[in-house]
Amino acid sequence: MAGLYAYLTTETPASRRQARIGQAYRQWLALRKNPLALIGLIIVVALLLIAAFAPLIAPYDPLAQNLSQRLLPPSATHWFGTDALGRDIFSRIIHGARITLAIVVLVVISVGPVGLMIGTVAGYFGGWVDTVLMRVTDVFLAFPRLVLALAFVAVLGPGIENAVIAIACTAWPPYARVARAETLVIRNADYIAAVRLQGAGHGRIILKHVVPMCLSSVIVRTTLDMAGIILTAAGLGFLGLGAQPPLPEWGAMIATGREFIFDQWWVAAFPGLAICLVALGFNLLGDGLRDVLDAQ
Amino acid sequence: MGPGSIIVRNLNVRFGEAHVLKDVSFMVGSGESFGLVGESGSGKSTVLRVLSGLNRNWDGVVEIDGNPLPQRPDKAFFRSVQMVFQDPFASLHPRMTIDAILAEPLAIHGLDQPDRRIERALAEVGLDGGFRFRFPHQLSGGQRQRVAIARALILEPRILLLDEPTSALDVSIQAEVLNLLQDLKLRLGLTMLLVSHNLAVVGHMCSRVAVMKLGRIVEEADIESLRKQGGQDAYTQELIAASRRVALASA
Repeated sequence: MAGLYAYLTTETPASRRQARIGQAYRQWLALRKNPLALIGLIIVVALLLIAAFAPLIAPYDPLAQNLSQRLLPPSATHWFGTDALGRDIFSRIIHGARITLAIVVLVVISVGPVGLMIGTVAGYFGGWVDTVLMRVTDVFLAFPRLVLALAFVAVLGPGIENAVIAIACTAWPPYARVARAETLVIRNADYIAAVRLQGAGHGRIILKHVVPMCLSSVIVRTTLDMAGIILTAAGLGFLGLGAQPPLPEWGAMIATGREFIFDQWWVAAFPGLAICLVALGFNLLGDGLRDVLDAQ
Repeated sequence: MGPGSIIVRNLNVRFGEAHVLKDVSFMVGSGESFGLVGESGSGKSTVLRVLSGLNRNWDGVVEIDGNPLPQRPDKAFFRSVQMVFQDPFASLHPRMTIDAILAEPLAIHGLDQPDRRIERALAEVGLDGGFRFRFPHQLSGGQRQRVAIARALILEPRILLLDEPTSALDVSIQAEVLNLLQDLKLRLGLTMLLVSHNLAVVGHMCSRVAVMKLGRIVEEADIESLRKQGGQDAYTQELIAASRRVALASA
């Protein structure tokens, strides 16, 4: 144990890998000092675990209807009650975690790299490249996000895949903005001049030297944005344009609970609580990561 | 002139309306140390940026190694000319280990045996292997500047451009770095062009010096004759007097 600690914290690492692991360990120590970030991390990890083991955790089949047991209030048999078709809401929320996570992950892996590339290229080259790319970005930014996503879904047709595409199309501009702003500072730094003096080409400078510097702010932006992505997906689901019934998507579940919100509050309240909790988790984690990654 | 020489004739640089360098001419022989002194804004750093290939907007004749400097230098050019920047806190990539920083020029030029070259470069600037996998923020200013020097030398250039290499360092460290540079110059037979506002630093390192003011070279002289007779030009005399005052004040 002491050996491992010494290995991680040594000032004189002996290999590339040790240096990298040591750096990660120091960042973990910094994250651990921030209780709110830790809560966020716990929520996010819990979401991952719940999504991974959904069939084992959920007591009922999320799609099984039982009309004799419709709209039951929360009880020992149905912890979160049942919905209008007699389905167990707790089981549906557990399975819905998978859908939520899938949407978030798909959006993030498509949006992050696109925003990063457009932003760094625009910022690095400047001039007309910058103007063209940033005006395109502005056009996308000019529309309210949900409205633009609605337009995309209307063209592509409802469904989760199309919701993901629609959200991705509307989510990348802020990433490009963040990356460009960072790049404008970085491109005049001496360490970029130094690699240029070594004869590096533009592609190499952007990918190996500029992008790593923008990465931390984009990662932070992503975690903060995940809450928004979840809410947009839920919003599309609520409007009937995201996940289609009978899929247990949280937004769609709230939409069906709307009719009973005064008499059977649990139908809409528990999926709403789930969205709220996960959004909060990602936000707290994002805040914590910002402190950790920005500190040198 | 042969390898390692620098010839600058009627170099002019304009940034928009501003005429930053006006007909600057000088010559540096192979293996010689040449100093450029002047106050901030005199254009001395701009000369370095032209010679290093960072500033591509210039008129005049510049010959390096006996070949004219192209407006867009190619990869091979950077193997013969390297530069050390003023601020070692800004010139090392904060997210790369020393190892990665030194490996980068080797990868760009496809040089063989990167491990051996990195070890040798670190040894040359007096850093032991324990520094290799650290990040720049774990190093002191002097150590960082040694890394920056190692990075410049790892491509085995013949010409080293130094942009105020010690002015961002503590006084106690300055002498160390200057001695290191002096030692490397003798050992590797480098041509050095040193830019500084500090006459004492230039006097320690260089045999000849050009004094710049407002984009012009007002005087070029041997260090020895400057020491004995002071300068010919009024501005040079002023600079020398100023540096003597500073030396007295700090002594």
